[in-house]
Amino acid sequence: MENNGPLVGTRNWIDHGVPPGTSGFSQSSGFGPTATSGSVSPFGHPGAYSSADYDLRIIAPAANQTGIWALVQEGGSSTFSWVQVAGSTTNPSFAVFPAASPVTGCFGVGEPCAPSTGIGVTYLNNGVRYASYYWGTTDGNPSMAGWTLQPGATSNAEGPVALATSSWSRRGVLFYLNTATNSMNVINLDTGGITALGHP
Amino acid sequence: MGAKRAGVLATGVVVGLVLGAGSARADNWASAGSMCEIYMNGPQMFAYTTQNGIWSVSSTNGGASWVTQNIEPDGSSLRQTQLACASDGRSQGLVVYRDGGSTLRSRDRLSGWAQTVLPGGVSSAGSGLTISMVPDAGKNKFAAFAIENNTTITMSVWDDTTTPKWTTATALAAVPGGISFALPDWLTSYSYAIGSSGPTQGSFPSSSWPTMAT
Repeated sequence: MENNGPLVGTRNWIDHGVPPGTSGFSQSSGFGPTATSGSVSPFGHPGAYSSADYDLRIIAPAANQTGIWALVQEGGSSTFSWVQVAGSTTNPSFAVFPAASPVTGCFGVGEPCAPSTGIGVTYLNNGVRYASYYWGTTDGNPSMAGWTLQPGATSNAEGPVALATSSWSRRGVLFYLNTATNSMNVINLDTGGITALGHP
Repeated sequence: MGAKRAGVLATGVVVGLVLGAGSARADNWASAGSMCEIYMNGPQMFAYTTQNGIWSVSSTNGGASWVTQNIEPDGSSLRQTQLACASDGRSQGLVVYRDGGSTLRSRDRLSGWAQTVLPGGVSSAGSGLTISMVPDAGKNKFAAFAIENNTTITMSVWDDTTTPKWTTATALAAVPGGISFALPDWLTSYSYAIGSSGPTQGSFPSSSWPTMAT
């Protein structure tokens, strides 16, 4: 269900249903959202704007282990539709703690480009794994990392992730818990470099 | 001036564990916790432990080094809670959370992370929180949504230029079909600007975003 409207004025509920072939959304056993969303406007233009000028992406894990689904409105469409996030069919037992953030996806800083949306998610698959995915316009070279496991996961705990836009990483940075060492890690998703931030 | 829209999505839940069951260990990152992100000149990430406060981690030198700061040192007021964060991409950022009495509070960056109560803001279960920056008439406001109980989701709006900064929480129309707040229902939100003003630079957290018409 979506409640949509201006800050002041009439707001309405919209029933988007569930992804095709699924029975519902993933459960979550901790604190954190089971859905995340973002909007990006690919290009500016003179005159009035409407919602169709934006790419809206609402990411929600599905409950039947088929992967991660997104409710999208893109490319000038005025309606939402359900799309399975490519590469998310790695049999997650259930996905928890998704996070998403616009990322530049540009070839170079300052170069005009259509932005991309990055997704980070924790899911259970022979232990907790942390994955990241980029959706939308890509930086092209090198090829996008796609849905890749991040190191540091163990099988005895789960934790949230945070995906942040960064001025020094076109693909952003992903924060996650290394439960083996009780440390918070941050990975530069451009380079794969990991920094252990420890524990306060 | 264009209308500014804020959306909120309530997600359904099949089965969930009971919240606040004491599973968290206060000194362990791996305990149940919450993270959210704020983008300024560099990324800032927030996490929490139930007794040690809310921690920000930030870097302004390309990730070469990171600074950890407790922005909620009054740990006694914390209860297990989801964090909700948002920023204007430049200087202001907010973190919303539940205190030990189910009241919603926030910390904001421009005040030096001063604590502010959301008038009328309640989160009985500590989940179902979300916040988005909403450009509005040249201002960067923030809209926070919270699940209060089985029938009520509220909206509060933050404006840096008003006193008080938070509006009193107002209830949205009832969710069709109802909600079950005792289960870990979650909210997520987004916002965008429509109308003659178009997107506002800074609406999105990227230093390389194309400059857009205003």
